[in-house]
Amino acid sequence: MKRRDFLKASALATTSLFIPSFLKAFESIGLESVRGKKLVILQLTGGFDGLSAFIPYRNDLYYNNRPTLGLKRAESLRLTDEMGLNPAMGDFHKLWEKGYVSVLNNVGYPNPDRSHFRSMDIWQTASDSKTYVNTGWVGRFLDSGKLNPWEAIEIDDSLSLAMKGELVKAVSFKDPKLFYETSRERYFQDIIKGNPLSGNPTGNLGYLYQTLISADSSAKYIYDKYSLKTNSAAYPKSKLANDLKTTASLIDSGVSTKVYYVTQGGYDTHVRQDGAMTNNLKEFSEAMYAFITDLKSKDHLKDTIVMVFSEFGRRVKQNASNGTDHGAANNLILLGEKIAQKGFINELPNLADLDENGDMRYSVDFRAVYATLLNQWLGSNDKQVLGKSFNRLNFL
Amino acid sequence: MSDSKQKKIQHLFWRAGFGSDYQTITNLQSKSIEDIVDKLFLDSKNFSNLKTIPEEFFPDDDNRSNTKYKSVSKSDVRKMIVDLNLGWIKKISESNEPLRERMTLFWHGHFATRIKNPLLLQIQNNTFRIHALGSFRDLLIAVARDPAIMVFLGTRLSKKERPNENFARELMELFTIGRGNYTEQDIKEAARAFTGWGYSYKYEFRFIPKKNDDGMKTFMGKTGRFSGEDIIDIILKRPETAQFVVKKIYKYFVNEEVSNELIEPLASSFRNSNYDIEKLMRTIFTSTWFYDEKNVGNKIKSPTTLIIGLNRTFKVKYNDDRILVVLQRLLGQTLFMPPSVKGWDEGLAWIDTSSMFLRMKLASVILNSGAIDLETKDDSPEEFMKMSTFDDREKGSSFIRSKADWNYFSNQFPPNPSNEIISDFLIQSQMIPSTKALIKNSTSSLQNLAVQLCSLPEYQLY
Repeated sequence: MKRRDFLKASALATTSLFIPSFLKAFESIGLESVRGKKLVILQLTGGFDGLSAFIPYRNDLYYNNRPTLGLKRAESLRLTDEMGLNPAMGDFHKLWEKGYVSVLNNVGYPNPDRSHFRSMDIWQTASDSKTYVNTGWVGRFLDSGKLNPWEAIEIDDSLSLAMKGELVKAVSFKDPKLFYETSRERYFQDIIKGNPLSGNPTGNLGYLYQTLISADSSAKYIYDKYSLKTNSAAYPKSKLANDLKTTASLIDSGVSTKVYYVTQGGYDTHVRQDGAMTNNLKEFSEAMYAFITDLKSKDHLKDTIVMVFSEFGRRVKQNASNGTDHGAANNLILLGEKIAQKGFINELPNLADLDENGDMRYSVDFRAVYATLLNQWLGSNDKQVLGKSFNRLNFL
Repeated sequence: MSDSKQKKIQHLFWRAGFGSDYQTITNLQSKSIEDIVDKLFLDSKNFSNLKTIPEEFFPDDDNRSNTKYKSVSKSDVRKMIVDLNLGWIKKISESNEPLRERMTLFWHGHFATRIKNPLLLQIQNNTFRIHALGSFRDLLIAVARDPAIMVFLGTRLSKKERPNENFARELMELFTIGRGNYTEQDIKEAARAFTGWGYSYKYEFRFIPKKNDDGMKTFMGKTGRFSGEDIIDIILKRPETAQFVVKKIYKYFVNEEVSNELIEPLASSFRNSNYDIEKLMRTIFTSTWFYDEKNVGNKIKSPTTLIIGLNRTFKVKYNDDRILVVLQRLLGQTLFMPPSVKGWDEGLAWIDTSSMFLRMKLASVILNSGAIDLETKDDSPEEFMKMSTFDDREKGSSFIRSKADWNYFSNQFPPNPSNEIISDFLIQSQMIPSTKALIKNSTSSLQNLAVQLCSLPEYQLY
């Protein structure tokens, strides 16, 4: 081989080696369409009762099953001729009217599991209900693109399974400033300078040192950008609002983070559901309104999609404690301005055809939603991340 | 070093308790492991209950409506949960029955309960303590009849017309047999059996026949008019139950990676002994495999183990120990506030980028009266964590003011101890070579060396 040819060949080889695989996947789509796109995942923990948020107010079966919990048509905020919204969600209603809200009905998976933990694991790992997987779907998204840990951030004290890949684990913190300040300790820097990973330590000790070093580099990267801006937008006072505000600040700071993960708890409403749901939905609605408004005002909404999910819906029939037990298929909410299909995307829940437990049947596999977002929004190889192909949906 | 007698004794004391002092370990070097294990169990024979919530809040016959407790404001109730948390931390930190407290902590995670009533939580905690080393069946039934879990999992409001499935589900999924060993139908049938369970105004178990479904039930292939206790006994007859519980104990006390060939014999003798917890723990602590190199210094300390380990090793005194609640929350384990009924995920789940720094900073802050910016934010999901009385709250930070007893710590070693003596005492795991060199070459005072050692990734292991 001539020297020039060799150079040509190796240059080619190098280029293709260094283009992360996720970029290769969308070369045909064109880079611009996915560059800088962000996905914010909001997990509603405990089993969110979609039927308390989205009210099928023309459906007698709904009122038969929910004699005391059912919300009257007159109480609800109108969405469509068939559907109303929980009156605690006034702010969310405004987002709906602006066309920023899309709702998928009947989202679930085959052989639904009614355990919180198992079903949450299924959603976070994107596994079948019979398969156990110890990496999360966002984590595998990081793996597949050989991304940095900070390209997925969870606003929390700890990291969810969804965010843990085989090779790359996302970063978690509640406050980027505090995270950075801690990392600057001289003693820690002394330990890191010794190049502790040179012997490839394994086991828990190896894991601890790897975490230390990836935390150190992530803290520095994020803080360098984040510290330059302050967010003066008004947010209500709640944990969720605070976490979303931190998310908005990070998005505005220009960090290359592609996925953000936040949670809101309190949805396991077995007992006296109406009070708890009113509080939860109000907090959700107000925080989301502040977040979307903030993003819109800084022109980030065009690059951001929010996906809201829960591990399962709740049983259609209420229980004896004025609550509801664990159910199956549920609503999944998407927010943004680049979602093509607005409002209710697919058919409404069929309360006349429930499964043997009295729960709603799924018609949309949640992994089809992931596949769509991975491929068409984040420009990733959805098949590689999810382990198999799912029919992509048309909402984007 | 890992096979030395000292390391073995330290291993036993860490796993069966929260570490020990250097003198005790030195004095026990000539004893056999069996004798030391005997002593551990003997030390935990007598014990006292947690009594943070005063008797006056408990109802008596003259005070049927329990007005004293009911008149307490919501914010005072939150303070009482903080008190309860700190009361237990203090109890474990000073306990002469570390094994019993270690077991109590294990059951506290196993039967994780999250409710707002501090009285009921204290009663439940004492139930764990009383049965900690007794029969698992007695423990299970006592926990099921305790008001705390009835409130948490809805047994109290479950009636025959519409049984609440929550307790029945968690009983099988988390407390006894584990997933894959029962059906959804089993849950429905078991839920019927626990209808009519409740408690009296004195927080004593009460069975309400008219709310109970005493009809025929088919549960795990058996049919009869089963009561709640019958359901529990049917579950306990299954070998999978002993396997499930033993596996969890093995992961907690021995190694996150389970050796299946060890589980089976342990589980069958556990079941055959009528679920005798003490016998099981003795078998584990006296087995040679318990001291195998792969089982020593490889477990990640839970936040509780980390904090209490420091408290005990250095006899730490806090000016305001409420900071310990903040630290627990930041590290991811607040006693009496498990994240869910599943309890805390142990092991690697404790470690992520944010907790790693805090863990490494903890020793300097606690032992050196240092300051750390620990934000106690308004958005705390645990409302009561708002440390509203801290003076410097406006600045968004709280300072830890604490004092280690350095005389006590230093005097237990021979004069002018080498860095290696201190390192071998404080660090249970293997060390990374570059870090080992850093410590070996340290010319720091004993006090500073101890802080440095406790600030290492290695110190996170036990």
